[in-house]
Amino acid sequence: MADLLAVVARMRALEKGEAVPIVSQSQVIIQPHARIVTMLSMAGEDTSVHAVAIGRQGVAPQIKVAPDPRRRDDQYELLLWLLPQFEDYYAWCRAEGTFPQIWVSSDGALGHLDTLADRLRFTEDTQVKRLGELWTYAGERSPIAGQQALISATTALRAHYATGQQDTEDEHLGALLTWIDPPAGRDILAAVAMAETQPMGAKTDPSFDAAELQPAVALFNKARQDGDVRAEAFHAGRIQQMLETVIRPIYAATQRAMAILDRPRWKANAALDILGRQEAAHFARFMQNRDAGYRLPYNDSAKAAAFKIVARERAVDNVEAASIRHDRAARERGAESGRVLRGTIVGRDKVKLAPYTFETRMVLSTPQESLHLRAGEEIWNLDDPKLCLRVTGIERRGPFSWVSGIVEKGKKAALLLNIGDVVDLGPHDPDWDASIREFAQMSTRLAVPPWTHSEVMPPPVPSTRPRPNDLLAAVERMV
Amino acid sequence: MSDPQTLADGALREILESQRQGAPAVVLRSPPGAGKTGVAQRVALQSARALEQRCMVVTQTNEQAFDVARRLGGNAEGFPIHLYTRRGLELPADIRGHRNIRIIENFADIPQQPGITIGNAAKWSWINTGETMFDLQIVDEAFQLPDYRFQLIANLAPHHVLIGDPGQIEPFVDCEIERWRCNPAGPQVSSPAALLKRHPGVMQLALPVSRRLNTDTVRLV
Repeated sequence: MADLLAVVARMRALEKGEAVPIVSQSQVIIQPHARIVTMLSMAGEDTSVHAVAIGRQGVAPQIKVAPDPRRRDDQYELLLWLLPQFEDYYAWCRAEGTFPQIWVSSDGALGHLDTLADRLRFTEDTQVKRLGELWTYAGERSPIAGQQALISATTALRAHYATGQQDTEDEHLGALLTWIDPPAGRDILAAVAMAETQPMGAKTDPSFDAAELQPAVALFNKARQDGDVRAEAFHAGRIQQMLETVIRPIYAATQRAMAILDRPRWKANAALDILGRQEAAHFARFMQNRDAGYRLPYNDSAKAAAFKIVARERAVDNVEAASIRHDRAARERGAESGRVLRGTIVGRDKVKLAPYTFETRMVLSTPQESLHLRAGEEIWNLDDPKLCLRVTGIERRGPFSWVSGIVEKGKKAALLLNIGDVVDLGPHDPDWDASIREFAQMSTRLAVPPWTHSEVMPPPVPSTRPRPNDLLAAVERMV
Repeated sequence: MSDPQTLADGALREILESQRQGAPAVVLRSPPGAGKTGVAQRVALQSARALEQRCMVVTQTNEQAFDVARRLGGNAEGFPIHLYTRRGLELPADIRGHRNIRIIENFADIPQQPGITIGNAAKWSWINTGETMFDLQIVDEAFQLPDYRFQLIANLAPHHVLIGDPGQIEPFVDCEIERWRCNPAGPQVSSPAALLKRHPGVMQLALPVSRRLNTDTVRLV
């Protein structure tokens, strides 16, 4: 049903010819010091950086181009130009007790940076390796729910707006921005088609590559081969100009996305404060581990993978719990999907079980068609974290579901509620410390690695117990 | 061609024999209705009674644990079965009142002598020790158990019997798994598939008969 809300919003956007806001609160932290990083790879060389633009919100970019990134020296020169910018930025964030944030244009650009981070941290050059390690912080965090370290502008915008096109089409930042701020008096689809002619990811246009860039790179290489320094500088300058025409609009579009998301129309979201504190703590641990010499492997061991996947699962739970509690739109989606029980109180009794022992019971009715609830589950009042109800029964009668339960916590708070009041009940407050407890438990459990997840399978050890003539018959007598 | 009962008995004998021979692990593939739980029941009883081992049975849910406990609790010799549950869990009346089922909530109460203890995978993963506590671990519906969850309980016993239906959908993991998508032994993969990828020499057996599917469908599954 949550998808239904998305479909309705898209239909509305298509009808209006303009993106529609789908939330009222901010969905992403924008660090005032966040770095905008726009990189272009060379066609067919996905792990190269042909050009990079780096800067901040409201600041013009610094641009560096490697005329031919297939030459290692040219590529390393560009990367080593970048290193101090990240080293200094990370050091500053660490000193300030905050976390660095990198903005890229789209998920494609995010994937490019992540791939580069993985590749660079296994190079032999210690400085290039260091850049890879620093980028790995952002890359490793990017798939984790609620992370604020590496932000794709398209993903951030899509969390705030619905457009009248498909999700994948929203991945073009120019098209997405056109939906959000459509040009007056023009057909939206024509305007979007025009916007899409400008590259917005990590790659240049193939026709531009073939007609302009590749010949220029070939001439540059020939001049270098011939030892013609003037021609070499001339062609390097041409390549720089060509790539600047591509990279500057991407950088500017990312800045524009940030400006849109920084508008005062987006109300504060307390869930983001929690996520910000979590991100800062993650960053502090990451830097401590780098200082301590821990290296990040390319492939995870079974044990490391177990820790990582559990961390991701807990992050999903906690982000959902925080959003449902603090974000109106998330709560509405929860009510639509049945993750949140939105019920009217139809019964509330204080039952005497024994002298001085009472139990408070409640019954709620709801027209919600799909409820993700089962007996034994504990649900919490999302507007009063003191009140917890343990579900004892769920019954569907006609168009309504009746949910009965026992108040486990907040008996006084329960008695303040009246018959007819509507309450939202859902998951517990996010419990970030639960991950720490679970990791401690996992460390205990995995102190001795099981053979099943190690290299060597042990040999069979036959039983010395007497063997009956017919194994099956012997067992059947026990069943 | 042998009759279905003979085929089923042959497969069961093979599984029981593998336990006599001390196979470190067996993956038993079973189509729906082929008698998975019946096999788990027999392997567990042979382990505890005939081989005098400490046997743990892993289920995926409490409901499955209750079902296995009911079946094992009805054993012919009145042998006591232990059900390891979380404190405060509401138990069905027939389980609570069963004369052969003992409920245990604390790790310290798990019997040290030969016996059978049933619990769900999540409960087992919270045992606060890294030591081996059992001789045999039987995982029921193992194709529903992701490998990282299996890892957390695998060192509780040196021998494993993983029973399940390979035709089931992959275990549900509620997070982004792109990092491991290309790893056939990744943490999100079902525990039998990951185990066989790491140790191709692990014994594999299949139950040939299904009471629910016809022969062609069993072959396809």
